Amino acid sequence: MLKTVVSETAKRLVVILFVVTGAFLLVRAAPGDPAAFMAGEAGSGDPAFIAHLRAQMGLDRPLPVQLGYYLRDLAALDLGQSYREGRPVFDMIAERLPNTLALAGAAFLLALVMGTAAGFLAAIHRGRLIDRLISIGSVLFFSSPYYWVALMAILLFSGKLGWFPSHGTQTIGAGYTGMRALADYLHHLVLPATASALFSMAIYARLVRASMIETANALFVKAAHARGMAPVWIWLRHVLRTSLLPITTMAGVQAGQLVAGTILTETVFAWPGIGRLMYEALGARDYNVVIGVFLVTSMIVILSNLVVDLLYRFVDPRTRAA
Amino acid sequence: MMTDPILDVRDLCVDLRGGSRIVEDISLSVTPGQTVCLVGESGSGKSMIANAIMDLLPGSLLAVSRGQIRFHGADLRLCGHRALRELRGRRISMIFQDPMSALNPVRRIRTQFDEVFSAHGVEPEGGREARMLELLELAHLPTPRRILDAFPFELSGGQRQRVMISMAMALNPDLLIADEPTTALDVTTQAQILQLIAELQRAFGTGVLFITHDFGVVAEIADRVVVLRHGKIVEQGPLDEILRAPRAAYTRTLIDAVPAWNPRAGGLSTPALVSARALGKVFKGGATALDEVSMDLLAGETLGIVGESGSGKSTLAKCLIGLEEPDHGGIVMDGTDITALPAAQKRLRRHRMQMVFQDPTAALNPRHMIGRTLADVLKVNGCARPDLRARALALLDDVRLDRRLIDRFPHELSGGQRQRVCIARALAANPEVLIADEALSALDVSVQKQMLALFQDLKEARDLAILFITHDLRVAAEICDHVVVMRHGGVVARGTPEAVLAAGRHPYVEELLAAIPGQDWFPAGGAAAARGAGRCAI
Repeated sequence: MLKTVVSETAKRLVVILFVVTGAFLLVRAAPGDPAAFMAGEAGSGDPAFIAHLRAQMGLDRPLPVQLGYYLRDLAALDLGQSYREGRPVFDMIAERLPNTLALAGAAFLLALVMGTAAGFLAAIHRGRLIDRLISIGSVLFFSSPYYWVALMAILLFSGKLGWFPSHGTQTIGAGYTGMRALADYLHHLVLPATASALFSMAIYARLVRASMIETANALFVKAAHARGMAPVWIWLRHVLRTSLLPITTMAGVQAGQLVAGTILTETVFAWPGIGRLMYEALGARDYNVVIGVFLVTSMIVILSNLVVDLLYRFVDPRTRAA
Repeated sequence: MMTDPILDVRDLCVDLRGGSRIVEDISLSVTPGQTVCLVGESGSGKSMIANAIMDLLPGSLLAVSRGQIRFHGADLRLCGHRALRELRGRRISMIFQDPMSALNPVRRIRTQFDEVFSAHGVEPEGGREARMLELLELAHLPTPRRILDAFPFELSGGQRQRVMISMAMALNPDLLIADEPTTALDVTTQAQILQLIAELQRAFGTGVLFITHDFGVVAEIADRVVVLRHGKIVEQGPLDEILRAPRAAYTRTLIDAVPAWNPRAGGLSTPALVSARALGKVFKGGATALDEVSMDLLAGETLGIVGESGSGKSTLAKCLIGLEEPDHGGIVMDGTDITALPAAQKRLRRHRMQMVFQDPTAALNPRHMIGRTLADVLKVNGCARPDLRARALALLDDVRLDRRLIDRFPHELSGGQRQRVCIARALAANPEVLIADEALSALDVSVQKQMLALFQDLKEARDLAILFITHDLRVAAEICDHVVVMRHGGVVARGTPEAVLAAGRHPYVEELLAAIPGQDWFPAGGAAAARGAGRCAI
C-alpha cells in the first residue's frame, strides 16, 4: 500500500513539473507582458521605461534562464512576487484558497449526494413519473449554459425572492463574529455552490440511474432475492454499492473540474477565491500569479485524482489484485 | 408409503405479458429427500419454472397465468410478497449456474453469507460465525476461515459453487432448487459438487429440484425425471423407467446425446502441420501455465487436448495462434520456427490457423449482422466485394445454417446457431488448422452431438486438422485421432485414444474418467478396460 502511494505520488510530481513548465511557456507566449501593462497603467508608452521595468522584473533574460530561476524558487515553495501588487504570490493564494475550497467542496458534496439520491430514486422507480421528472431535470441542467443558470439563479433567488445574497462572502458592514459569521458565510455560499453543482449533479443522477438499472439485472441481485432479502436492502447493499464504482471514477474527474471551473462561478458571484484572482491576473499579465494559481489548481486536480485512484482500491477489491 | 410432497406444482402456465404461452400445464412434485430432475434443452422453459416457483420471474415480461404452486400444501401464488420472501432462503433455496455472477463481486463472502441470517432474523446456536464455518466445512472447503474473508474473485469456480451451496443450506431448507449448478464447471468439479449436494440432501432430508440438460447428470443423481420440451412436459417418471424405456422419441434423443464411451483406435501417420517444441509460459504472479509442452498436430487429424480448467490447454492454443507469446520454446510450421520470424511473417503463417471460442455469444459482435461478420473476414482474405454475399451464403451452407440467417443479428440466434456462425467465420479465412477451444462446453448435450458431426464433416470435406480442446474425455475419445492429457501446465499422457484411455491408464486419466457423470448407465471404464490392448505412452 505504502509503495503504491509513493509511486503514484512520484508519477504525479512529474506531471506537475510538466504543468508548471507548460504554463510558464504558454503565459509568456501571449502578447504583451507585465512591464507593458504597468507602463500603460502609469500612462507611459516610453520604450526605455518599459525596458527598464523588464530588466527590473528579470523579464529581459532568456526564457530558459527565467524558467530555471522560477523552478529553483518553486523548489523552496516560493511562487515569486506579484508584479502588480508587489506581494508574495504564495500569500495572495493562501488568503483566497479557503474560499475556493469551501465553494468547490460544497458544490462537490451537494452534487454527489443529491445526484446519487436522484439517480437512486429514478432507478428504483424506473419508468414511473418520478423517474421521468428526474430524467427531464437532469437533461435540463446538463444542457443549460452555466452562466445562464447562474444569472437566472441570482435574478430569482436574490433579486426577486431575496432569499440569498448574490455576491461576496459576507454581509458588508454587519460585523458578525463567531457562529453568526459562519452562518452568514454559509448563507452567501448557497447560491454559488448550488449553481456550480447542478451540472455535475445531473451527470451523477444519469450515471447512477444507468449503472443501477444494469446492476439490478445481475445474477447476484436475483440470488439475493432468492435468499429472501428485503428489496430495499438489496437496492442499498447490493445494487447501489456495486453501482458506485463508476461514480467514484467520475467523482475524481469532477472534483478537479469543480476547482478549475470556479473561475467562472467566482466571477459571476464576486466570490473572492483563486479563480477570480486568476481572472484579474490574466488581464494584467501578472505572470507569477497566473502560474501560481495554475499550479495550485492543477495540484488540487491531480490530488483529487490520486485520492480517487487510491480510494478505488477500497471500493473495488478486484483492482487490488490486479 | 406415500409421503406428502414438499412441492406440488399443478397445471402451471407462464405467459409472456400480453402474448404467447411459454410454459404450459406443468405438473410435478418433490417429496422430502427426493431428487427430481427437470431435463430439457435451452429454451425449453426449465429455468422459467424454477423462477416461477421462487417468484423471481421478471415481472414486466412474464407472469404465471394459471395453475398452483403448492408448498407443504399452501399455494404460493396466493401468498403475499412478504410471506414469500419469508420462505425464500429459509425454506426454499436456490443455486444458480454461474457461481461467479451469483455472488456480489465487491463484497466479502462473510458479508454475503451473513445476509442469509440477517434477512430472516435467525441467530443460530453458537453464533453466526461458527455456523458459517461449520457449513463451509460441510461443503468440503479446506480453509473456511480464509474463504469467509475472501472476495468471490479470489475463489475458483468450484469453491464459489460450494459457497453458494453452503449459503443455500444454511437455514436447513425443505426444498433446494438447483438451476444447472454444474454446467459451468469441470467434469471433476462437477462430480464433486453433485456428490456434495447428495450428501447434504441425505444429512438434511432436503427435497431437490435439479435442472439440467445432461442426461449423464440425470442418471447420476435423479430419483425421478421430468422431460421438458418447448415449455411442455414430454414425459415423467422414475429414473429407471425413463432411462430403460423412454416412451417419447424426444427423451430417447436426449439420452442418445450423452457421448458414448468408445475410444477410437485412432492413429495417423501424416506429416506434422504444426508442432510445439518445449513451450514454456509463466504468468505474472508466478503461476506456471505451460511447462515444457511439446506436441505435434498432424495433417488432417483431430488432436484432443484434455484437462481441467487451469491445466494450460487454452494457453497452449493461444500460444499457437499468437494471442499469447510463450516465454521460451518454439512453434514449428513448414519446418521453420515461427516464434523467431518477424511479426508480419508470423502473422501470415498464423493466418492458416483459426480459432473457435467457448462462448459464441461473447465471440460475436452483437451489433453486426451475421452477413457482415462473415464478410469482414472474407474481405481481409481478399474476397472481391461483389462476391462477398455469395461466399458468405456458401459458408452458411457449409455449417448447415439456414441462408436466411445472413440478415439476422446474433441475439436472434440460438446458442448452437451462434457457434455455427463462429465456425463459419473461422472457415472464411480458409484455414488448414481449426482450433476449437471448449467450443462445445457452453452448448446443450443434444446440440453438442450435432456439432461433433459437423466438425467431423468439415474435417473430411476441407481436409482440416482440428485441435480440439475439451474437458470431456468422452468427446475426445469419440472423435480424436490422438489425445494429449494436460495437468498443471504439463503433459501427463499422450497417444491414441485407445492407448491413453484404456488399460494401464495414468492415475490422473483414471481420476478424470471416474468423474464422468452417469457411469452406471453410460459406462466409461468398462468398455475400454474390456478391450484391454492399450499402450500408454508418456
